[in-house]
Amino acid sequence: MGFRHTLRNLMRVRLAKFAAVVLGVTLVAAVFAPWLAPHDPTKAKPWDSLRPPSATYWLGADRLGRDQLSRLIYGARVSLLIGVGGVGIAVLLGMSIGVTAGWYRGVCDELLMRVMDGLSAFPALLLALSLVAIVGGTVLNIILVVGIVGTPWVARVIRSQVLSLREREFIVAVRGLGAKPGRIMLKHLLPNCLAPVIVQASLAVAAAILLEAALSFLGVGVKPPTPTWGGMLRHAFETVSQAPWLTVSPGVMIFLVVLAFNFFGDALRDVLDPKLRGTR
Amino acid sequence: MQSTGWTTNSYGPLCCLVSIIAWGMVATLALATDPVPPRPFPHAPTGGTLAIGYMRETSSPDGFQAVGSFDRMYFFTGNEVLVAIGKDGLYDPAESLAYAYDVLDEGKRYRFHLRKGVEFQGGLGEMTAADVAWSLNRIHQPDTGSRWSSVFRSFDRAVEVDRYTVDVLLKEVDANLIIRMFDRGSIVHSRKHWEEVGGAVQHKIRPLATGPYQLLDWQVGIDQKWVKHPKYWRGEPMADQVVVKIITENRTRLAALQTGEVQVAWLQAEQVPEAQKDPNIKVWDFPGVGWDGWTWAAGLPPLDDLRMRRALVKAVDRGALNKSIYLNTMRAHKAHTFPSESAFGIDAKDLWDGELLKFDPAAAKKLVQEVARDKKLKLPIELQGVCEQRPDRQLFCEFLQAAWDEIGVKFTFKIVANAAERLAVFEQCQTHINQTGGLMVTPDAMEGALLSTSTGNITARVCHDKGQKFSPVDTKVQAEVDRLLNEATQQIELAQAIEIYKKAQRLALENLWVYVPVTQRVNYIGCHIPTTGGCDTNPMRGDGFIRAGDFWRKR
Amino acid sequence: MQKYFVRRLLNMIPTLLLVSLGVFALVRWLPSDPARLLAGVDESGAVDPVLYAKIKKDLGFDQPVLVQYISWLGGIVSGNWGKSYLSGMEVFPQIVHRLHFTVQLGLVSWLLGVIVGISLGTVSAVRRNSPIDIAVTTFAISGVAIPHFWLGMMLIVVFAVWLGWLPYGGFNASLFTSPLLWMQQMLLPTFVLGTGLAAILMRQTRAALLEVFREPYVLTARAKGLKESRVIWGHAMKNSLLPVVTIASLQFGTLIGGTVVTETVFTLPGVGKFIIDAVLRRDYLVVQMGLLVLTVAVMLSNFVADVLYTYLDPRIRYD
Repeated sequence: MGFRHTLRNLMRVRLAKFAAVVLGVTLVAAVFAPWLAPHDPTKAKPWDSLRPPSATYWLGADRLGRDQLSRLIYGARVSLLIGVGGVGIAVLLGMSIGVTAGWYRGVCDELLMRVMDGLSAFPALLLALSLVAIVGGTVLNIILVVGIVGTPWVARVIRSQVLSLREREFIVAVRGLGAKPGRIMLKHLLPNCLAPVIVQASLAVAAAILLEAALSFLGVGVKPPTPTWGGMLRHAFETVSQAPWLTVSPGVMIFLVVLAFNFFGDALRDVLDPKLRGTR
Repeated sequence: MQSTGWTTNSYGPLCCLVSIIAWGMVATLALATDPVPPRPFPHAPTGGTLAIGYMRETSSPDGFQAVGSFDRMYFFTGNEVLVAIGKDGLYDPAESLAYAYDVLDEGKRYRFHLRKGVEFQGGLGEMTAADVAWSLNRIHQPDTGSRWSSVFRSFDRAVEVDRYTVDVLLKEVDANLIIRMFDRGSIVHSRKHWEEVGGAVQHKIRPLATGPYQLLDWQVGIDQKWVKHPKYWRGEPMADQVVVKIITENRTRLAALQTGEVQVAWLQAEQVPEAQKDPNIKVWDFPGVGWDGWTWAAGLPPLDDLRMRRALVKAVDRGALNKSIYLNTMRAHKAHTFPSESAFGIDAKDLWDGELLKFDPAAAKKLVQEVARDKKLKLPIELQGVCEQRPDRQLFCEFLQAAWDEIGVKFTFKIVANAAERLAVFEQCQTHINQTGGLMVTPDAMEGALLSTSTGNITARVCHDKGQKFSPVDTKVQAEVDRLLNEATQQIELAQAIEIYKKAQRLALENLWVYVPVTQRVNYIGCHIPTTGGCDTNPMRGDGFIRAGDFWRKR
Repeated sequence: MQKYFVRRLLNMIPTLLLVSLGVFALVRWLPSDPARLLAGVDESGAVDPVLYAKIKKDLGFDQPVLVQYISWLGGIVSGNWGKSYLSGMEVFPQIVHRLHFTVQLGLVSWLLGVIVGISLGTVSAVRRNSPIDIAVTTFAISGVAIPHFWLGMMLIVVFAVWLGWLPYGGFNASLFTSPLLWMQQMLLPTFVLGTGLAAILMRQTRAALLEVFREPYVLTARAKGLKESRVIWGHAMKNSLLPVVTIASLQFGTLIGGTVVTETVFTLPGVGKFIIDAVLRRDYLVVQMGLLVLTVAVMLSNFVADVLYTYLDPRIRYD
């Protein structure tokens, strides 16, 4: 029993370590892309079209002769930006809506929650697809779209937290002391609401990255020439018989990063929410 | 030897007379039936279902209302035109509903002689001059789904002369009339059926025509099922059913061909090398059916300066473009609209390989700097473009972006879903470059692009004085182009018209007028040998497309 | 309890209205002009201004937006869903036909995911820390992280292109008339769709069972000498299944939403692909109706899941 238990613990720690390594590498790649990438990711060298992996092109070259590795490195920017940014926007919007609904209750609450219900009734990918088709495919727009898609979930979590918190003694006390609602929300409610959101945030980033990849794969992601992992897969699928190696690296990257965020999220949950420990 | 000689025989002249009369009767009899017999099918019917893999959403199985050039791939399965294009690109009477035509009144009247015994699908009866005249007259009517009114602007009306003769009256002489009719404008439908189903929109989904297969079912975006027309005038069709499957993913369409799921499939550039390696697939191609490149607004600065236009062309390595985007399956253009080998083409190697247009980024860069200096523009010069989302088109734009980046031009482009959107953006008069291609089967297509009244010529037609203005030099060029193209259609003899079209092409190329045909399109189809008959010779017609009736299932 | 369900059902109505409003607004905001699209432009053709004006009038685009919305709603209820701008065909029968397929795909994938997920999760819990457990756990963890479209792509490359064992995609079989072909065509798509669900269920089942195994009554049963299989099936499963079933039924809605990408990769005739194609081609009416139908389908399946869950759990009583 002892050995097996330790093994489990070890594995758990190792998984978290693995996650940290992957995320660290990705972050470094995203931030230091211009220095790390061996070639210009957007410069087309058509005579090198579809070259297999070699000394010059470690992961091969794509249809226009652009270095796959460099594009992979720059692609990390888009994925991380949209993943983290999207969740950030969702948290911001969701918090405002959730706190307002939970605090004021009544008609305001009903209305806001109905809208949130309506929004979350749409399948995420279809909603995102339609929104991007409207607003166009720039990084900022897609961050906003991903954020909007994720807002209902955050709003609901925050709202239920607020509902349970508002009757607690310290809130009643502060209210009795005449503090203004805005101040109460900011100083007292929010800090206590955030825990469940943060616990889930990492998993949310993973979902956001998958969403962005799916959008790019379908051709409605960030406009070229910005490299995105999903977009790279889209082009790679076209030439899968001439250059099958091109389909591997972007898919593996998406998989690893999403996996890492999942592990990270699990570890975070273990740390922040001991009640849930043991359900692993 | 003494000649008995029938000249001395008193029966001689009588015999002569009788034989002349008899000969005359036989001749008359022969002329009364179709002197050009229908081309029979190459094989006895073997039944079964023939599957064709097509690469995009079909717009209309009735053909007349189909909007895509590539739609020829499927609508000729069931529809037929009055005068058909042969494999050589010229009129092929053996497969035409009109087996002959006469040119009368110095080119202002064309008399078409219709075949007898051509049965419509669905038991509608025989095709007569009434049907043909009605089919042609709807070209100019607004609610028939016709978009061909401007293509047939010389056409006035069609008149029944008798049951099997139709006269087409023209407003003005047009050497290209027959050529224009090769495409869907002269598809013959049954007026009775059209009116029975309730007009254009209904006829789209329930067309009845004269072709070998009749539409049975159309699942938009999925497939079309056609069933054989047993009373087809050329004989019993060789398959029982034809299914046109929409397989948009190129990869999967090739896989379907490799396994025999489809018998014939449209191949995109990426699939051609692999298909050629497969021993079960026969790849056929037809070059010169069009070009890929871009059209530009020659009146939007800085494109109003010919040096700028030349620089942009000189920065593009057409061989590299062909290799990377089209995997060497297209051709770098050596002519203008039509390939040099075509009857309508010019040999412009001297222009493409000469200083004017040769690939030379350094020289291009100098030209850009010159223009910037003269027009007091800041480098990099910014150009706007519009591109379709389709992967190869998008890649083309990315290629241009990279190529023009080298010479000091910053090219950004908008991505749109389809040709209609592309045109809409272009018509807002702020876009310089419109990445596109053109299907150019016959010379009348040039008018659609180069004339000052044509849709393709965005500056002249829409944007003049909306922020776009031709330079004085270019104004003269446009005037000359207009003059040449109009003169060409005024010719009665096609040969004379062709000479003038050649002059126009040369002028257009020297001035990089309206469009730049960077590569010459080649259409590819693959044929699955084990299951398909009809693959031994090139099945493509002069328009670069197949006819489903040519194939049969091997047993 | 009936009152609770009726109330829940009634509560769905304002949400449905909001959804319809959202769909309507979404489509109106999409760029490009459907009237122009209908008037038709070929690769170098012109737009006839008279035709364009007529089409605009026919489609009702010259009326105020609110009027358009209301008449659209009325049309839905009366079964007149309009005709596609691109093909001119009735939207209603097309969507129904495709919905039929998507539901088929969704159900089969869901069943596959549930069966595989629960059974492997059980095995994994029973044989803790064995190689099977590790394999299953690995699969469970990767299953939620892998992008569906990439998985589908790779499977096509391996099984359809290299090995040629399965078709590239496409679907034209019927379960009853050609079961073998049906299985061949359904295998890869359902595998891809079911993977995510199976992965989640594996983890849940395993975790729930492990927790139940620690319960006193299980220890009692084991102490009484009951056979292990009876312990598992007779006692543990029944109580641990509840959260699993909850999640499984809630996931059905997500699964339906997830058919979109799978249908695209495998070129399947479902609603998801229909909608995506329509968005990319700007076939607005189809987008409108398709989105509405799919969203309502997801909402309904969530409602059914809710009913099931409430029915099954004796501890929950709503008034």
